[in-house]
Amino acid sequence: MDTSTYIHLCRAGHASIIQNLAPHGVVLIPAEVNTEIENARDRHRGIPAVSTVNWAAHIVMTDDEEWIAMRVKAALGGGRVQHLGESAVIACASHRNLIAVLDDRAAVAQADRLQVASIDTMWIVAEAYKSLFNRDRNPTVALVNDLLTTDMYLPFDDGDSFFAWAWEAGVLP
Amino acid sequence: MDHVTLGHRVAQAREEAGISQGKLAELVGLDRTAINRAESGDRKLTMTEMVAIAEALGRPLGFFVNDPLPAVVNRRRDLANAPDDTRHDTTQALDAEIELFASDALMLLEMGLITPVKRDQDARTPQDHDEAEHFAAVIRNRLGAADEPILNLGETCDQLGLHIYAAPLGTNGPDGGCVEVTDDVESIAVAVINGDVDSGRRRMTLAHELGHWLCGDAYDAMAVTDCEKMIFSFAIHFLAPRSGVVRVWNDHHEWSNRDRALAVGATYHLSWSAAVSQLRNLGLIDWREHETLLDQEPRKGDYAHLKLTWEKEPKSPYISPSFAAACIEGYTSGRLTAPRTVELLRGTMTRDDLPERPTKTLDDLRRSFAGHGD
Repeated sequence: MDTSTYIHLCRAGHASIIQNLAPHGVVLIPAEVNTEIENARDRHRGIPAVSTVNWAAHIVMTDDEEWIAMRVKAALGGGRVQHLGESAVIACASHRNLIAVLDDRAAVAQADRLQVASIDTMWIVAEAYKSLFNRDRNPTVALVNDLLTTDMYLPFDDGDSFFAWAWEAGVLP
Repeated sequence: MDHVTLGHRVAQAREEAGISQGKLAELVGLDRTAINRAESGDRKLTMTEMVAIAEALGRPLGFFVNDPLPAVVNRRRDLANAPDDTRHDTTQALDAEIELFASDALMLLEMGLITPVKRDQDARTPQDHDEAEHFAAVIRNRLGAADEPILNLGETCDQLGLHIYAAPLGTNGPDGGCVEVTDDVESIAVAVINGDVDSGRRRMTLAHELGHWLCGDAYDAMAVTDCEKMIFSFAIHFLAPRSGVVRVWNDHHEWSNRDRALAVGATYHLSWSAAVSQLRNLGLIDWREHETLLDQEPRKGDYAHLKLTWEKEPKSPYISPSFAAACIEGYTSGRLTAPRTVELLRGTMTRDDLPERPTKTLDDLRRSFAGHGD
């Protein structure tokens, strides 16, 4: 899992969704993502350290994964601190045949290029609506509203407008 | 890719940058011994360290970590084994640029941002000058160029699936090189040409590399001398077709032969030596006059005196229009980051030149609603 999903769901107070939806109840956090999470913890409240939760586990990239990550980072560009987390997530998912959780569009494009399956935070919202909330609109709207309070960039103003669009577009699972 | 190869690349880039191991170590926050061991492949470099090293040495990370394409490997092997008289001029700098440009083009191809073209699988290097001229005419007809000058050669190469980067390789550097990006039936090729040499020479090199790509021997440096000659023959007939050259020559019958040659060169954007050679090829001047004219290389003022001018293209930094368009499309669609887009554009644009990204819409979320099992 990349940094964005972890910190936004935690800050929104919905970390339990990660645990409830993750295969075997655990998501894997590469060291590069952990560094970014720790940086975010310095700036925001409500983000638990990975080592303190039972639904996330640290991982360190293997040699093979490091090679993949470096090539992904080369494709993503940027400086010394940008996109290290996404690169590590894609590399680990690729090598371990897992699903990458990524919000950044450029990172998703690289996952696609390497044929790595990926989902994002809004996928988790849709899955929560279906699997955890029994297709109940109200907790889903509340979840989206809580995410918006964390300054997560989403193309709508509130949970109601999101839900109305999803309903009209017929995309809800 | 292994640690030894990576270490060699770091050493190569560091030496080319004129930086000592100690200085590099200081720049990236490592001990000099660590750099020394890494360069000999004795120490693993982590992603974080490699990103810092690439930045310190002013090279894209891809230069260090991308696996070379098979075609690049073949080209390098062929060059190493080629007899001196058939070997393309090359340098480590040109090889590095070709390798990086080919890797970048492959990435854009894999991301669906560049469209491959179908190359004639039966095309082969012409066996004689007549075949070369005929092949050039076929390609010109396909482009609808008849016998008119090809003014935007970069765009023309684009149409034929050859993507170009005119790199700053120095006025005394190599002319250029070309490789196929994949060996699929539908593919693309990339050529890196020296953007620091004269415009006419750049165009001749580019037409030559185009000939290699269209003839299906993009990396065949082992081709016998005659093959290279035939590719050059294709190139000059492609740039300056017989009927057009004869027409320009005859249109200026009241001028001296030197001035008529200037007119041919300016019309078809040829270097002086290429223009004079083509006049001899076409029998418009004899060998003796060819030699005489070659010694009378014109200056800029000679063209201006006759009101002859032409756009100098493709001059460094230059990349193919469709390659640039693919990069921009990748950026505006969010599939490429801004720093990576600028890197891919190779100095032709800055961050401020990139267009505004469209605001994310609800439709961008559709993918998030797929794959939920309903």
